[in-house]
Amino acid sequence: MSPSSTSAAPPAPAAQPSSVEPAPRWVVVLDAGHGGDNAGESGPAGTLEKNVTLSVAAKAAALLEGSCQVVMTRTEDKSLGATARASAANSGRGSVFVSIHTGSSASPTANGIQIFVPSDTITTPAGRSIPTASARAGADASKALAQQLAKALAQSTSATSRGVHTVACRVFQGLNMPGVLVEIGFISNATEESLLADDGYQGKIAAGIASGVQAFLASGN
Amino acid sequence: MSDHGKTPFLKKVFFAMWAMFTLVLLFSVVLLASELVRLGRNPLALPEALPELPKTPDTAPAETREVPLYFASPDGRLLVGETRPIAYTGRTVENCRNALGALIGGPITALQRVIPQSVGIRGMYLLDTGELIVDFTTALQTDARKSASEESLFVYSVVNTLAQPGLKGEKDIAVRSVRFLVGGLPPDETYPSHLDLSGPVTPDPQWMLATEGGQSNHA
Ligand SMILES: [Zn+2]
Repeated sequence: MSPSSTSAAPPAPAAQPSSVEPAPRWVVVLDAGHGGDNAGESGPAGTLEKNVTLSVAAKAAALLEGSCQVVMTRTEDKSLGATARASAANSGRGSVFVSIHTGSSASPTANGIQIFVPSDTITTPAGRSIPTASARAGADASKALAQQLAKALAQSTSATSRGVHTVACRVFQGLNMPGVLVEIGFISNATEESLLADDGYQGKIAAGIASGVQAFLASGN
Repeated sequence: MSDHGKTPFLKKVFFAMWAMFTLVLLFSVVLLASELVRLGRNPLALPEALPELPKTPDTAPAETREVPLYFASPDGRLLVGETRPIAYTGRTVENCRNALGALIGGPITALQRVIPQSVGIRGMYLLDTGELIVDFTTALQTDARKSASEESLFVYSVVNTLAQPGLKGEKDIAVRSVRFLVGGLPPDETYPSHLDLSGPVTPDPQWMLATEGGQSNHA
């Protein structure tokens, strides 16, 4: 997949003033879900989603910083709306957007990693969903990113893969780059909660995210 | 003199009677509006809604129909149909209300509920376009689990259940999409936190567990 100015593929890396400058770099936007007053879901032992997502995002950023430019929508425990997250990604000229969350279910056995991608339709002011070429291109690129992430996360964590689903997420609204929302494990599941709170396991998830993003970006060259 | 004394008294009596009459009239209007809301009609569309009201033979639940209600699979991953008898009338919106009530009531098998039992239905309106507007109580914001996976199961459990042909009233229109309201308003980030419900939602088979003869887009 070659980089282009549409949302079909990651936008071309930021150009540098001269050929002697370092090679242009992709911009990876990492969005740690929730924050501040919005703690997200909590596990049976009290682990908060907002803390897990920030920790994993920071670890993934550290792994990616050597090869990419990283934009984090938040680096501290602060509240941020969905629109502000998409705006930060757009103004940071992101090539890809990865929103990090945990799953939560009424089923105590629910576990694994699930990835959400935007649909190939846009919603008209009248509320009708209609397919468009650009939405389709963006959805295809997001799906390709999701598949690379699912593969890399399965290798780095051995967690169950719950697949890729197309759904309209708030953070996708107005986003002009391929984007995914990753649920990195079920915080409602006691076993997965303890893993999600573990520094070493968070490192494995971060490695999977970094590796999946890099594989997606490399596929565009 | 006595006539002069009686005039203010009579005025007071007439005023009291007028006030009572006005109060009774107001009370009747409020009762009528609440009944229309209960029947799934928009009280503001009174002139259009009124002729529909006397259709008692159509609205009476003369029969039941076997309709699958979509609950979450025991592993909380996808939706599975649980076939249940639902009171069937000639009005689609009434059938949808009955089905949604049963969905909120929860499964009778090992499936998982997708809507907290505390959640109620404030109103339900069916537009001519086939868009069903469902207004949930704000218990949804406080009691529902907030993750993209659980919110997806909630949304498609409702949409895939209510947009079934089996709930269409015989001479009424079918549900094509569902627009969600919470507490009378478009949903904000309180719930759902992850999903965008600013527009109507159409049924999506990707959330259905594949069954014999059925299909699923589960990736
Ligand atoms: Zn979340």
